[in-house]
Amino acid sequence: MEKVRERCLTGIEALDNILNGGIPKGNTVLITGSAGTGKTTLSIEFLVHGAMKGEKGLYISVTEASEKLLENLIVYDFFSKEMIQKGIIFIDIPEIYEKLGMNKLQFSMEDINLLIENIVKIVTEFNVKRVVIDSITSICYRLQTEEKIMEFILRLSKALSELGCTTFLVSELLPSAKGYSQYGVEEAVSDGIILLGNLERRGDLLRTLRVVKMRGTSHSRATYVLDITSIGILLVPLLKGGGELI
Amino acid sequence: MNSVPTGVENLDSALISGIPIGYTVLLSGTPGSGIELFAKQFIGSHLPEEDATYITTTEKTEDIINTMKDFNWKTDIKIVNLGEEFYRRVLEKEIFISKYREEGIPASEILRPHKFHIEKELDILTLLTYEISMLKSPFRLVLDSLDFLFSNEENSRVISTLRTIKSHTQYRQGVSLFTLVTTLYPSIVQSGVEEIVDIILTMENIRTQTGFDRIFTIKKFRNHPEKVGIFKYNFSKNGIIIQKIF
Repeated sequence: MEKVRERCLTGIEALDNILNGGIPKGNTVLITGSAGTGKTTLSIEFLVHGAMKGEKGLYISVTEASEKLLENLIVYDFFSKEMIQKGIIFIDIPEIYEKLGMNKLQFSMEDINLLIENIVKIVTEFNVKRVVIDSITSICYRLQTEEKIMEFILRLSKALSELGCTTFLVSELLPSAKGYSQYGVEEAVSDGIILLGNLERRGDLLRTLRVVKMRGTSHSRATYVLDITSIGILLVPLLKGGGELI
Repeated sequence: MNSVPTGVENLDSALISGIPIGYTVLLSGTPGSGIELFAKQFIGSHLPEEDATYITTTEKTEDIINTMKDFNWKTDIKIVNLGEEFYRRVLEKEIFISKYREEGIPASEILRPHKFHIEKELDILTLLTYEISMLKSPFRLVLDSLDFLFSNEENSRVISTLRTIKSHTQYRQGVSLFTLVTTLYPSIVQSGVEEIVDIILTMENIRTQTGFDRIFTIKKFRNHPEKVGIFKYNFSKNGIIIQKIF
């Protein structure tokens, strides 16, 4: 009989139901979608629910200064400043780059190793259980080649998984991208893919969510409408017919 | 023509009672010839009304003062230490980077990420120009040495900064002295500097069978070619002394 893997509850009830009890612990999940689809909100909520249960979270901000991000998030009811101080560590990756002297546009293999080592060091020292990298696409941009991107994601997710960490890699999907990620390799090496999108229906722009892949669990592949409310993300099944996914 | 004394015995009479106000002087010499000592003797001989500033790129501030005290020169001068600033902002950072790359970023640095202040990249030439802009008329300025600038900055930018200093010296009733070690630079750099300055002095230390021949030359004197000449020099407890004319 297949051994049931321990789960990491996202705290978004409907999502945990779709996943039949949450994300298998230690998985690296690609949260992918175009701009404005709710990737960051979903990821932060994942960390906040972890923090509420006493699981330390690490948010690695690549594109936006975390200070600015926090200002925008305060509007949520479930979020308090205290929570940030106690439960979540926010890091701006440019500070890591600066401290490690990684100022070249294209990273070398040595730089990649250093980056992984330092992320792992933080996770170990603070006993972090949930990690969000927002976004992986911006890091990939400086890795350039598919081999380096693959190496980076594989090694990082292996190391984090061994530490019992569940990881969200936020992926920015540009209109030019084919498949579920910008470089194509991110989706291949991830354990799961959650696709967020926009759907235009009768003049409204709806946000949608679909679990495309998740290793270690069975799950629904239906599309859900995602609502960002002051009490967090709500998901409802998408009524079929009409509308166009964009 | 109004002039100010150099403080070097017998040199003022060989010039026009010293250095004409508004003139910029280049003092170049072979290593060990005593150009740095000349620079200190010159700044220590400033008139009471002159705003005296000594910009150093290589020495420690206290070493400059101690040397000047040894020779009983006036030490009521302002010392700007570009070398220390460069060490603090550039080299020290490199030392930290190598430590972080080797040992990983310490946890204490991670927990207070917003306090980590990324100091503005140091632009030595901007800093230098700023210091020059602070000089009050009349002033006496020493810049020891140009070698540091040429080895750390783009040559054309250094030349352009020197032009700014020269203009400032001209219009603000100052005298400025730059030091430069000869034979280190391509002729285009050397001639670029030589073209800007009004007076060129050189010091050479030539090995002979019995000791050293110390040769001092006035290589250029703007509008006074009759002043160009070759001298011998020596050192006494009061500093540099110019000797008989060849």
